[in-house]
Amino acid sequence: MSTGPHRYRPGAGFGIVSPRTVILMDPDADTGVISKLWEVLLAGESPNDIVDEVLSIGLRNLRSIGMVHVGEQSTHLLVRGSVRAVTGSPDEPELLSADGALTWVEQAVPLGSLVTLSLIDASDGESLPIMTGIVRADTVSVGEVPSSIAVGELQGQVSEPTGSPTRVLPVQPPAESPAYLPPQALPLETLSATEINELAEPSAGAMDEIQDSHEPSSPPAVEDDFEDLFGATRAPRPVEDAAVRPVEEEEPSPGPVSVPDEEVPDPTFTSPQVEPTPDVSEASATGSRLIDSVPGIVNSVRVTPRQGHAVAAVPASEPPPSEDDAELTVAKAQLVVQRAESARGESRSGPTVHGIMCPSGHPNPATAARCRLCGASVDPVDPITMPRPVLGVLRFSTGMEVALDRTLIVGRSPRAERVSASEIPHLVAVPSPEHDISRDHLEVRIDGWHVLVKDLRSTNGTVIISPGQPPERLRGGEEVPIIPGTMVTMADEVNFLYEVE
Amino acid sequence: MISTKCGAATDTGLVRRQNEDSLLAQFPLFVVADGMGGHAAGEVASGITVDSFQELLTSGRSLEVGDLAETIDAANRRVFENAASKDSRGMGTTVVGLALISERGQQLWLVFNVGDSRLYRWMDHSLTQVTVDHSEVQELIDDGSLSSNDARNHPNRHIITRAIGIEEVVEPDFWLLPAVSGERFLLSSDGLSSEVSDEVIGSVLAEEPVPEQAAQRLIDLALAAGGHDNVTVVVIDVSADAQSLEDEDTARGLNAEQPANERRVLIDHVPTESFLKGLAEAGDEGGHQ
Repeated sequence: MSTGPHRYRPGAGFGIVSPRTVILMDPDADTGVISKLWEVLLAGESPNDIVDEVLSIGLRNLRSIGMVHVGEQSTHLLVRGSVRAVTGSPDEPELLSADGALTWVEQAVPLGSLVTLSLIDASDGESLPIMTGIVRADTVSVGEVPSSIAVGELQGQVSEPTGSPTRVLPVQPPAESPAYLPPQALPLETLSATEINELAEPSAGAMDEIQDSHEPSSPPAVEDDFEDLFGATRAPRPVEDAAVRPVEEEEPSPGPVSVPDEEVPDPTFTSPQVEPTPDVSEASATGSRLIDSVPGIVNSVRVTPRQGHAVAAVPASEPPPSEDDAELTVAKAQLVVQRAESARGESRSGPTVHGIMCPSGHPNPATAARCRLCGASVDPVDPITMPRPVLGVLRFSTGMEVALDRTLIVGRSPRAERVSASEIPHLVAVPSPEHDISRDHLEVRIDGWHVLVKDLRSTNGTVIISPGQPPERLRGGEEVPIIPGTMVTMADEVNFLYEVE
Repeated sequence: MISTKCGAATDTGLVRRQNEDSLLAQFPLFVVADGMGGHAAGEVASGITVDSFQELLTSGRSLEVGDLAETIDAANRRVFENAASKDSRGMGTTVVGLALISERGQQLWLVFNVGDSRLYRWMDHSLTQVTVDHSEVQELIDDGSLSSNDARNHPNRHIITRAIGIEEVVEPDFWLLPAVSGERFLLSSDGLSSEVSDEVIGSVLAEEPVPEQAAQRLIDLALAAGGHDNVTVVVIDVSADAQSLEDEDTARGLNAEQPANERRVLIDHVPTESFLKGLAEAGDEGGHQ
């Protein structure tokens, strides 16, 4: 479910991945060196620190390494030995190789560039997402980091689709733009290792020759592959011509006509043949199927419609009624498309937040000075987009514990009305023998890093006690943020404590 | 523990040649799908969809929220790919369903809907339409430009705005409801709701205690009103043992504010046969002028 901004393809090498920096090393790399680099990444991620570390290790001990660092103004690439980098647009992939270089080859590319590091003998295969960590990999690709936005604007803000107008959202190209691809999908899903090798082939160690390989003479296989790439993300097929109501086909339609082999009905020819109301009892005896009672699992029923079985209700001497008057259900195109687009974003990837990691890898709001989980001090770095973590737990006086991973409705007999798949809440039923707690009493909603409670106009109300504060009675329908340590009491009967973990 | 008694019926109607509706009525899952598209494509689409839910039951374990959401996704993908492979443009289906799920020991009804088939709930002498149609007419009702009574005769009443199998991704609506002893649910394709008014539906559910007979009466009324479309009906009676949830109001006052998207029809008398017959005839005439 969770999709990190980077991806890797499992292999024999080592991928060292942090939010802004990705390193790829060959299978012979020393594990001590890997550990040192990992510590440098966790400590600060400055590229100079990493280069310092590389130099102190000694180039002789580090035959192959590739690094991508997403900085403030640009993305830096560094390759040495057998590690290569591919960047650029899908139409014009650019290869950076250190063939022939004594030390390393370095390049800066614009922010937001998609970069893939790969070993020389990388194999093809499925790629997997990763946020932070060390993985065995022969290809690692760097996703898009939303650093095109001022850091201050992002702090504590969320990128949920339901954001309020005042919220600053990451700038994303429109979903239907053909130039936009999900960042994690581009380099690894579409550029196979074979193709990277093909790109590299004509280079033989010189960068300008690599550029030549992007001329029309480049292998057609690469071009074809990018065609496929766009094919996979093209706008959904138009539905206008998918489902059309026959009676409307009378109107001149510029588009292709659907239901091609159905007789085009005449809308004026409607009522006569259905005027004589058939004998209902006859229809019910012959035309419909009655299902026996289904108590529990014992008698189960799956009805497949029988074709034309109700025609028996019409006297046999009469011609069977045409479908002119038939009530055909029609799907309307654009709306379905739009909703599908919005559904794709929400239900596939789940909510995301902007945040930073503490030294132990705990996710935190961008503004955090100390880790909300372990209390360690957190250095201010550029925030990244990450799947929203579970923000904590609600411990109820009834003994129940509920994780704060989605909205909760708490009450005596709670319900949820008309929500999308990603919005389906936890329903937390609490006992209330005297019925003091309302059926839907309280909503606990998560908005980015914030936990908000709302009394659902309950009969007997809700009181919150924030740490060190006097009790406060919630006004019905008003949403109030709570912080860890807050006690929430419903109808003086059941309470819960919000804790980080 | 919750148990159910159920009655189901489906009919091609008096005008259509094929019945493109499919249904599943197998505790703890009840589904109605109303297919669309020429050349039996609708039957295929609704059949694939109902089969997807049937497969979900083969594991035998209790259902969870994620199971249903995933099954809807899977059914959508299967219909979409089937349509693409046969070039059956316009092949799609509605789906409406009711599933008993368990979450932290509670038994809840998960209701799901795509399109304009419906779930109604009958409880305490009142009929509530739980689902909200994904239709152009519903959008007109939502913005206040059409009354729900006029909707049944609106020329665009069959244009739906979401369906299974039309796009690669579908966005269903969900409801989670506490399971309550004594409640009665009705799943139906639009062959019922476009022929028979909510008032008449409510009176049948009030009058007919046996689910299968209630289902058959509703089918008969839809046919009597013209039977212009396939019609499918599933009636589910819910009963619970003593430890299950009650549905009484909060002590010290009613806090019940009616949700804006529910239409309630109060039935305060049990209508006679002749009253029903009159309503059905009125509906029949009204439907064709």
